[in-house]
Amino acid sequence: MRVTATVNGSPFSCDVAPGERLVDVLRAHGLTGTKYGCGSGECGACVVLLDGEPVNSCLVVLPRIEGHSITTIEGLGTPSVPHPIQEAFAEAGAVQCGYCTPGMVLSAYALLQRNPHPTREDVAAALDGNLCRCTGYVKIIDAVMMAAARLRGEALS
Amino acid sequence: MNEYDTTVVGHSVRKLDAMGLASGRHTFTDDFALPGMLHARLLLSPHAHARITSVDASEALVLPGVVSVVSAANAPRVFHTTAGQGFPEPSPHDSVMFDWKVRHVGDRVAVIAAVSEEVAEAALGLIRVNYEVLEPVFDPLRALEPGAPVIHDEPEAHAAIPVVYRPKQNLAASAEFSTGPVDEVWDQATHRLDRTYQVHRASHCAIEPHEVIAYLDPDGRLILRSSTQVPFHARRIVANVLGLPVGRVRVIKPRIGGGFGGKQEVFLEQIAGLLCLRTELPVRLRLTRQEVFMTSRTRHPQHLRLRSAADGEGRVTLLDLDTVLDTGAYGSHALTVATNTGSKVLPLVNRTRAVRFRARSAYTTLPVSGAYRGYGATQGAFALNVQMDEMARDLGLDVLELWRRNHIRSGESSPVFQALGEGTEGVPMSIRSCGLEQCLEQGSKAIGWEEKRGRGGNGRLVRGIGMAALMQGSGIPRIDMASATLKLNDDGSVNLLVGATDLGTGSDTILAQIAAETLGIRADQVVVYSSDTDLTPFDTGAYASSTTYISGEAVRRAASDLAGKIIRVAARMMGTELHGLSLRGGLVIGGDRVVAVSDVALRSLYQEDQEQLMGMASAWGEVSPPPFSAHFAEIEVDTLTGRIRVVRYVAAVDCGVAINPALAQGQTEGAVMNGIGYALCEEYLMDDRGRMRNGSFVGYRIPSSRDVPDLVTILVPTYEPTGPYGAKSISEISINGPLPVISNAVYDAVGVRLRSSPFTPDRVWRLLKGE
Amino acid sequence: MSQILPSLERYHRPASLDEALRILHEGGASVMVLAGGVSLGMVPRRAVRGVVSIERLGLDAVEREGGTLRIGAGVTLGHLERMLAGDSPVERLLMVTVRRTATTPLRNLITAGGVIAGVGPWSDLPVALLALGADIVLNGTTVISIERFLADGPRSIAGAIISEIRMSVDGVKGGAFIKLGRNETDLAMASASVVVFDDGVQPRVRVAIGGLVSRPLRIEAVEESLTRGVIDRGALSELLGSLVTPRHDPRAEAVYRLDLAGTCVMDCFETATREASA
Repeated sequence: MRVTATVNGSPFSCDVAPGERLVDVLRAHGLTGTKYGCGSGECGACVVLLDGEPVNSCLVVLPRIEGHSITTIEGLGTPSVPHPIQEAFAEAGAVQCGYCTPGMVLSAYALLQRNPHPTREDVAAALDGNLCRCTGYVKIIDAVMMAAARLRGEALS
Repeated sequence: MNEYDTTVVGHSVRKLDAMGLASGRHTFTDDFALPGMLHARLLLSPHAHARITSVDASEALVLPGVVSVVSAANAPRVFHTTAGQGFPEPSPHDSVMFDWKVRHVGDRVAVIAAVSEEVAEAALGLIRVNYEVLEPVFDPLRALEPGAPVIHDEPEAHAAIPVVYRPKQNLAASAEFSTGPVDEVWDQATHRLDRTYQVHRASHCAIEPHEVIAYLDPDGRLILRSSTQVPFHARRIVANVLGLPVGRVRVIKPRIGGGFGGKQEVFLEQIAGLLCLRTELPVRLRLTRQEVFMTSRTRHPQHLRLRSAADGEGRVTLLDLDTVLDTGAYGSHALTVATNTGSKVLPLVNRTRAVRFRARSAYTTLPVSGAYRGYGATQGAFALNVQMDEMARDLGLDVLELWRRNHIRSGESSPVFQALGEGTEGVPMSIRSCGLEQCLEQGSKAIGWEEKRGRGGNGRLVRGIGMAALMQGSGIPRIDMASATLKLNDDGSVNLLVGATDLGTGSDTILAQIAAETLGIRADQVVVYSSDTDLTPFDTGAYASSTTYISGEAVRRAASDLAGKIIRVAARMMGTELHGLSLRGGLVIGGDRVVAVSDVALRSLYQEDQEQLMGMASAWGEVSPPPFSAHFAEIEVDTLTGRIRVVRYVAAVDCGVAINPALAQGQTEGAVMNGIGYALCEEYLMDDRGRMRNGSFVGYRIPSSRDVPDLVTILVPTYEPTGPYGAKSISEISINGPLPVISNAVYDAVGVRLRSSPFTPDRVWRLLKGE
Repeated sequence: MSQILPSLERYHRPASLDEALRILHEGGASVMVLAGGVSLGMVPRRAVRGVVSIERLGLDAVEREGGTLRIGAGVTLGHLERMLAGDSPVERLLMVTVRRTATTPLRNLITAGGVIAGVGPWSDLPVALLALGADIVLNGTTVISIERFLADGPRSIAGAIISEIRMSVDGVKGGAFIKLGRNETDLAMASASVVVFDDGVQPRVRVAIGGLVSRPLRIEAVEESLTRGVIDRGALSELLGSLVTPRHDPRAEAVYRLDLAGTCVMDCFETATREASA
């Protein structure tokens, strides 16, 4: 069936079997920043934003995005023009293997859109669906706090 | 200080690939699709122990889209070990790709290559396999008893080196040594403890599942793009198993989504490679998460019996550790994890009059054990530290004081170093750098040891604190080898080609820092490529905490080699002697005369005495200087539910000079959280038929961001004279802390001694009830 | 690429409940209702040929009308969390419960109707709804109590679509939900919810537990003794043991989970009572 949606701000349409998963379709279209980690919504490596909210794209059948808007990590920034959250992740040492990072960054983005003044607890709660085995989360939470301060326009100590 | 200051090392340079990863641009194995690529799925055994009497793939083969099926009926039968170690491997050669026998639930029966994952999966159900079910063995102690079912009864299983290997007794490996009058010290001691500890199985849980893509290049060479920690071992093992010359195989390591030892195992490359050779098409083999749990590798569970003795002065006079490891269905790392249980633990206590060690690795019909961050030290450090806590209380001493009176120090050696190697005898070593004393000091201050210890209480929520002293190693001495190549570019930047395998640790960045420091340039002027068996020089791979220490030293030497050549050209340009020239800030400096390295490069590449200036070197560890660490935690026990909450955790670590402090902290924080998960919630839940009941992240709980305590890392600086710029390694050590630290803290809080892991609420609740 | 449901042939996106029900009836067992989709991966992979998406049925509102809170069945838990206000005991209880359910991205998929349809593992919200005495609206018309709905199990929704969850907020003075797993985001090994009502005549409580059997259970037998303060933790766990035979859970034995459920109930009771008297 034909599905039409918006992906990273651009019109997107494709013909798929109705049971196709969003993660696979995105990856097949070159958006490989969305990762596969478990296929059952438990690890968050495949998190994308559906109308601005983080969802596990391995649990979304493609017809579900009909008429909706999807943001993947590629839509947030580029290595040369990164989003401040991506910049903060790199700077705070929040990236180790980087496999969970795209999903983490998108979850953080959704949080900061809604709550520009999060506490560390708010950040930890917002990222609880994005598993990371490398960092122990400390520097990831640091990075989101750093990005929040920058997005508020605060100077950093 | 300017950006060219000779202080690249010791600074938290931004991880070179961080932005590419944070923007989703870096490519992992799966981010690389080839036209016409086939998708492979494994058929796994439903039985813990069975003989396959027949495999019939004819129905599967007629399903449209199925291209190839391989099973014991048509696979090459080359005995090898999947352990991904040096050559010859110390692990027994007890594996073939597909055997006529299955030895655990999840063992490999067949593989299907098809045009899509759906077709491959649908075809799995069409392979008819007849099994003759055999008696399973789920208890390693039982497996070693006479009369136990023999798991490896095939005549071909053998050891490749002269070590004890008795498959007919289910003994996959064994090691022992003894020094001093053990019985005499025990008999005469005023304080003695004899306790048994149990440590459980765990999964690495790299978020990227294991994956390999195999394809043929236009000349018919087999190319493997693989999520591996050991590209060169993978090349050698695959070539052997598939009967190809090593030169006909190329292994490319892209970005890796975490390894932790799990991707040291070479168990998928040969299967994908075989399917590719048979079909002459690209083949992708990616494990599902459930398959990662079932058919990749796990931490060796151990039953450890530790006896210790002490005199009235608080001197520990005896350590006698006897441990049985459950190596599961195959003997991957069965010997070396066993020896490391002693060699990375027993030397910590170094005033003994006698030490004895015995380890036996038993085959069982359970998931396969293998390399896992900590590698035996995790298991041994649990027994030792819990017993030290108990001994201190027996002696009426603060456990910190007991450690102070007994721990190893700079300038000392231990008989254990020489006695226990990795398949051979060990290497005598005298400790050159040891910051354990400072770790104990600074860590105990940070946790509030004096104020908080022994407060206990009678309320529902009771707090306690505990500690542990730890060591690891830096590579495997006289076995691990690394090499590096550097070439100078027009602009004074360099390409650094290393076989060292960055699996997310940041080793590319650390190696770039070492090169930059040596060449007097910035880290971002070093373009790192790791690792590709066609393009980068040899390296044994990323394991055994070897990369910073051994690969780092190879890079330092290669950079020195290149620096010498740059200086020689510069001296010619300046018309001066070599003596007195140095590299700094992208310049060759000799007194008041200066030549830019880029000018040296341009002259060499285009103008006079033309040559590509290159540096090349290898390094080999003569010794394995241990990083040391002291860990502390404050925990809270809910005495009604048995739940343990870690309130604050302090890890004080001596890794020599931290080449990149932020990355060193990151290694520590990640290892601590992995260790906390291991201690509190991660566990294989098996049924009575050897099936894992919780093979998913819903069932197998690893910590999320909500589970993080106040986590403090203290880097205690020392200088290791044998390491590059004073560095030792840091990647593994901190996973060893949480198990004993939390156990000791629970005792401090509620007087309950946890000697079996994990410390789940129900188990703590039971102990609190006195059961 | 792989598919969640390789057998899926038809994806229906009806604009009315009638149309949705018609497709459901015509399709029989091979057509299922699709809300958040989280449980799709848990159904037999080859059995489902069609799905009926509820996204255009207008079941995505959270409304407060008089003394009634109405939650559309298609409301995701994430949306619900953002819509709930902290100024009423009912909404506070729902908020606490939702935040303990699954994870942030999963909550943006899981729907209120989906968790009570009972196919998914994240059944925290039904425990609180049972304690609150909520009603379930089927097909926009049929109202049944959640107690009845849960007791009837899957047969209560065969061929039907859950359209709304509604509950009275009048008289609710306090509420609590507590669960414990192996870590913060784990499924409950046991959970409980207690709600304190006071209509001016006689305060009473409703007690529900979760995680012990396949569905949440109301434990009426303890409600009165809790109110009268004549039951302690030990007696409570013993009583639960006499009423409930926990299903097998490889994480922990039944005897522990019964005791844990008792502790959760007592803790909830204390929290809810404190809120009610504040």
